[in-house]
Amino acid sequence: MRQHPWLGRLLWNLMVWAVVLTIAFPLFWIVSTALRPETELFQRPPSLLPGTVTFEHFRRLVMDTPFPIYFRNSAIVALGTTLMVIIVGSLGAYSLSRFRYRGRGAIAKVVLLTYLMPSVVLFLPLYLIMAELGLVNSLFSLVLAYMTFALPFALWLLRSFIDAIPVETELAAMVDGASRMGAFFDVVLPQALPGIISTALFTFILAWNEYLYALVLTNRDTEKPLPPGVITMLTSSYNIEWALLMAASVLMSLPLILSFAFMQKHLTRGFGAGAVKG
Amino acid sequence: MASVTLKHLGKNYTTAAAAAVTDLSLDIREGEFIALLGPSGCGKSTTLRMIAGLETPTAGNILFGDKDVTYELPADRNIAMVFQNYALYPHMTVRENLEYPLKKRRVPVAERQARSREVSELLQITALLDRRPGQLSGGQQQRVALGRALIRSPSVFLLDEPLSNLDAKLRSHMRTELVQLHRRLRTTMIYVTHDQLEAMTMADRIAIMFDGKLQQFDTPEQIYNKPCNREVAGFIGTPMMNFLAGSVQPGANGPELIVAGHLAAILPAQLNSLCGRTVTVGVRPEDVTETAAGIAAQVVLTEPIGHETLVSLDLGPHRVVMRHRPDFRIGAGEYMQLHFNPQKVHLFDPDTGQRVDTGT
Amino acid sequence: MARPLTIEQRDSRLGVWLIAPSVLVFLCLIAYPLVDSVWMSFRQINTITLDGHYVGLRNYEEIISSPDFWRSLINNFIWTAGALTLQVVAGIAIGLMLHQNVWCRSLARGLILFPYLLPMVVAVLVWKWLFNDLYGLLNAALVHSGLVDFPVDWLGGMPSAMISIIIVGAWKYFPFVVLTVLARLQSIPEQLYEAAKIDGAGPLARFVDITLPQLRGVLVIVVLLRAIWDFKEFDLIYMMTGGGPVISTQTLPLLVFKHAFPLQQLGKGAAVAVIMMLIMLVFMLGYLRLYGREQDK
Repeated sequence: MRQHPWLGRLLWNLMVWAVVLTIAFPLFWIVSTALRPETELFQRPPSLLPGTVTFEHFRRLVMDTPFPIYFRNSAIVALGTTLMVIIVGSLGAYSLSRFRYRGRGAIAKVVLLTYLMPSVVLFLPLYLIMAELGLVNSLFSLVLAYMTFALPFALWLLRSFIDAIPVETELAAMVDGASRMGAFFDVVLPQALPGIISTALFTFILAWNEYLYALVLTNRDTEKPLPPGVITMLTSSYNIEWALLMAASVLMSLPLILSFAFMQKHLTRGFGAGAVKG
Repeated sequence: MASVTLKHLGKNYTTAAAAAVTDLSLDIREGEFIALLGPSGCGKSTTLRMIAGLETPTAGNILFGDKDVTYELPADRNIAMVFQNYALYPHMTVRENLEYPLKKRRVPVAERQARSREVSELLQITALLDRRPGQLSGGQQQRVALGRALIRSPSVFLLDEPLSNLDAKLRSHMRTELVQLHRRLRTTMIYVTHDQLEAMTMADRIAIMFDGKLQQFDTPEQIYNKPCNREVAGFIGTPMMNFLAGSVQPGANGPELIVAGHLAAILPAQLNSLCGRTVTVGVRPEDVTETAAGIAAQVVLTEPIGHETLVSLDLGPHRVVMRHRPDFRIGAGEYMQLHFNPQKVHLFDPDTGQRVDTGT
Repeated sequence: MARPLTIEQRDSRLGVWLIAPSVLVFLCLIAYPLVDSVWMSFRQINTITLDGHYVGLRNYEEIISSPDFWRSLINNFIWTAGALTLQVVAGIAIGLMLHQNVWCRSLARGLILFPYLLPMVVAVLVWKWLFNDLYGLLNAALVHSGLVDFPVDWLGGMPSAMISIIIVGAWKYFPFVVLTVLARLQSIPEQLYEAAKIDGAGPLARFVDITLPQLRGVLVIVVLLRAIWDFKEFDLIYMMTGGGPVISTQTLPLLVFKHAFPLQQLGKGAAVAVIMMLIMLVFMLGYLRLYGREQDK
């Protein structure tokens, strides 16, 4: 190895990329399956790449299945949850970061604890509450339910972002004539914007991917978001149409891919900070 | 323009054992440049924040002119403040930073722009108006902070160690600029610092604080020449004042100051009342001179600085530093005879530290 | 005459108003349902009609005496231990790998992160497709390479079903460990390694003496967090196997669901959930204490 250091480096790179590609393989397989005609699915042995590329499954998905309805529901619920959580969470995070009042420490600890709360424990009583309120099968009940895990997460993330902003700029704004909340809007929010965007994206992804609450609180196609909807497509047919399901998987992951490509740097930074803190 | 009066100001935090500020009273005249000087933790920044309205005192009152502003919000006090790290708004351009205070007072756009142009010319930052704070150097940021404070023509100008983040050369340059600015504007300025050189060179009067209490409030000359207690005397002046144990004994030619068993100086006759007392003697290095016949002291070290030579000597149990001619050399271990200037000797009570030689 | 409010008092009030909406959400949607959960566990409630009556501790007695519960509990621990081990080992290994210089390192890191951000539904679908006994790629590869004679019914038999869900669980969640490890590695000053090199330490010694101790603090937190989250995992197992074959991959969360929906006994479901919470409380309190300690550092 010492004679040919470039050889060592080459082997190292190849090994690492072999690992990365193995891990990423299922992603490739989704796309590969979604693009091949039905007949190729039942080849034995199956080929890695589609022989002919077809968009037939995507067309059928959008035209002949409830998929667009599921997609619409997911979009509405995820956007609604994100909006609510960002508004309530920004104010709450600002309060936890900058203000002093009795019970603040306790609230901060409770936020941390509920971050770990299993939705398994909450889904039963929430179902009961929503049923009694007549809210079952409504997108609003989903937004409420999603807030139980989205809000603690957002509070904790946003608080760490606001903590990093030096407090002097707010003091300067107050001396310059701004009210306390005026200082928040003029000076804190603009500086916290990258953090808020990261949090919004994470919240959107969390809400978009949620399965259990959606499963429990909706049982009609017209209100189902994507996760339970797509699984219904899997379980309710005699012939499982894998290519169709793979096409659904691609479309379902689209917002994720888009926001990921857009925010690559921010994701790792925000998550890294959060991840180290636990 | 306003005078600032602090009446028995106190600040207690429930979380801390000791009070941050105790019974602080100051009468600051209109247009004066005051320094709040002291070591870190002495309460000077807390006092400034109370004057600004960012904290409310737990005791006492603050008046601007005749108006009691103790409970007023910062926005309502017509003050301006420059922070230690400038606190510029990073997402706004320099122009927007400057105009922000005017925007908050709903000053019309045309007037805002005229004012920001005026201020930027005064501080020579016109070229920077469209840049962001992140693109500026330390000195430039400082000027923008000053500009933002000036733009409203406040009645009181508060500065919290604004020069401490600058390198030495820039600091001395900015000191001069600030003094000139004050001369021009004649606004009441309250300047917090731990650097005695800044306070001595810039302020009309200095308020020295230790442990939350005011020690002395006087002109720089008075503080230097007549420090009211041992702590103040030791804080002001570099190299530090020499402190020795001594006593005052009656003598034929006048009260005699005895140090380490020897006569150190003949004191003025007014100080006869001190006869029989033990005192702590304070004498500045420049007031210790070499003489033909005086107290013997053994040289420990000489430090030629260029414009003078500092000589450290052992006098009995004490270490004494004196200033000497720049070309003066002497070997360690040799002996010198020292003389203390009797007009410039400070006497303090050994227990309370208070000055006892009121007189000269 | 009343003393006007100090600025600190005004601030406190504003602070309380700002946190009030969050507190409201917590009380209504988290605290109340939690308490409700316990209340429900003492009743027998029909899921459809919502009729119910008080039955005291009967739910708990029936659960503790049912083999269904104990099987689920054991499965839960097996699943958690298996998935956690793989997540941590793979996470550390790949984190270390991606800390070094590699071609297109940020692309590699992005690809590694993908399983974590993918919707669970998508992960389940593709792995079910890969594991498919008739046409799945995995069986095709195994048969083709001669490792097995017949395709394996991964999800239909044991222990392959448990192994399958552990593999998918590891694949889905290990990037969380990678991210944490990477973030920590990036904060270790290079000078430590340089000093060690000068002192003559080889790569293995540097790993054991410098890297591992630095990672220790973060790893403990990550292990605890992942243990909590793996323990309560519902989506993956429910969608992959539904708890099958029979109940051999059924875990406590699935048992809660089973009681509530197919068996229509909300009360019993709540009781299982409460038991689950108590078990997890131990882990959660441990995490809180550790987090407090890391914060102080």
